[in-house]
Amino acid sequence: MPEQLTPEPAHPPVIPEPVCEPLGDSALLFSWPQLEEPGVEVVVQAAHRSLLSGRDPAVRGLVPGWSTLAVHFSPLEESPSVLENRLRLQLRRAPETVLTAPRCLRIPVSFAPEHALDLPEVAMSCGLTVSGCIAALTASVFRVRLIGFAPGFPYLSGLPEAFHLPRRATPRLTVPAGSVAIAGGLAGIYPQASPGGWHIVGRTSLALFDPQRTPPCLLQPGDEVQLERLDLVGGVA
Amino acid sequence: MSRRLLRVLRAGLMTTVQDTGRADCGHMGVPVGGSLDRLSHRLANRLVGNPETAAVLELTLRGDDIEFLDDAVIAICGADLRPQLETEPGCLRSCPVQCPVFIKRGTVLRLGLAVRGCRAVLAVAGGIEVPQLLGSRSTLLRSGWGGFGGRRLAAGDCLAVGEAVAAAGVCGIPVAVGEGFPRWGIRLQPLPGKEPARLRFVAGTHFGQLTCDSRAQLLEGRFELRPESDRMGYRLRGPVLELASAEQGRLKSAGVVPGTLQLPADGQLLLLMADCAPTGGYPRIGHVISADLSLAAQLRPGDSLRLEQVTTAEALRAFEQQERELRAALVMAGL
Repeated sequence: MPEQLTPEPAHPPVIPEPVCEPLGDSALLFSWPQLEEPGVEVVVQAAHRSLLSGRDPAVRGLVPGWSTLAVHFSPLEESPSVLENRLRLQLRRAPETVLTAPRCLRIPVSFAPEHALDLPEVAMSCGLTVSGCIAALTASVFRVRLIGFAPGFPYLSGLPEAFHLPRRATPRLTVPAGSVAIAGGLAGIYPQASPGGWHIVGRTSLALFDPQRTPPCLLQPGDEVQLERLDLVGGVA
Repeated sequence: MSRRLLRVLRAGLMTTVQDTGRADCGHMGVPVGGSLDRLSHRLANRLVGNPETAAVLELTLRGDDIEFLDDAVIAICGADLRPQLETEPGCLRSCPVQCPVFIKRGTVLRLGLAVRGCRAVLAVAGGIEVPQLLGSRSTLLRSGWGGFGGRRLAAGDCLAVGEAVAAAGVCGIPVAVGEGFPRWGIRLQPLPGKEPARLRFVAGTHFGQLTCDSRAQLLEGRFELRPESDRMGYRLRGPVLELASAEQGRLKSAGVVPGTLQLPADGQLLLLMADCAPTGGYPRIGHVISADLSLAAQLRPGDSLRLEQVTTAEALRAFEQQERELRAALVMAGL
């Protein structure tokens, strides 16, 4: 064992040893299948932070997933196995970070019938009234688990059990921008009009993503999100 | 700074401004994007003396008519759109491809229907000048930003061209003027023909979970590009594949890359391309290797392909070999 060559940090590693598999020939996928919720969320974020700080020159991009971290690189500049070993070492040496309170953002949402297209249907499936649904949704504290699917699209955990519905049988060809939607035990907000199979329960006029803004993304993993009832003035969104 | 202009007289089917994309924005849900045929993109830029990352026009299946409002040096690589040059009204001559071509001010470049391949790259010395967004000039059509106003080009659009790093005829770029067009062209990747294209892939996380039958069908079957295929991904029609485990359907979102072969619940493979989301929730059967993505970019709806499994080491060797071939060809051309 080359223990002298890789001095261990004084504290126990904060990031457990990940599984690493190739994601094609130009990316690696680190994952922690042994970890349960909610611990895996913290580990993915810590791993992301660790690889961002003192970034390896061969790394082209880092993409956190639900319980994974994808690392894009150029195989013409570095061999996957050499890079994997270097990144493992970097993760092992990740400093213990002080947990700070998460940012909490309030998202104004219109639950007007013309915006909450599927709310009556959702209410029926959940055995609630529409106003009961709105009360439950606005009382929930959601958590941004990852940004994916489209620029700025947050996958939100924390949806009350009663709302855990499968996706719509037929996806919509166009879900309007700003739509707050639920499916498969998660909530999400569509930053741009796109096809989608989730149930639309409201709409926000906040820009979740703007490439000209710094930072472009309104939300980031770890943020807490609360929906705030607001009937959009004018009703046009 | 010079603002030499191109004007679109007639728009093609789907022409967008692309460069080599946004590799470092995946954590915000932003696709890598950029030219689908990276090899043609890099070659075309090198042929006109640009950095390989300069912005180009990507023309899909049917090209545009473009008027040059100033002298320019261009290179057209990739799909064969039968380009023609009109120096005077009604006076057409075919325009050489895969080599640098000097274009005199006032000339109209007419690009037609693709007779082979799907996507052509048009590079102009100096690069297409559009504002950078998140470090790139690539158009993200689905999101409506980047490139030229976030959209495909339309008739009447005027595009600016940057200052050429190496002016025509200088710095050793062998550009011929007038009648003396180059009689050479560099083609590193043959365009797909009648035979199914062979795309090599490395196994993905869920390859081992395919049933025995499905694995055999993946390796021996023929797949066809369905019409819904676009820059985000190709929907393939082929044998219905099944996983032995219960993971068929959706998983928690995890990273994917251009080239990833996903298996949605209907059992029909989805090949992700440059504009794919950086994360996906379908099982990952495999990943088409980087060296074959430029060939994949030239497939059009209706074209067929076969998948051939290789190891990661073979994938890397193929990528390195392609790189060597590009360099060697450029050296031979005196670039």
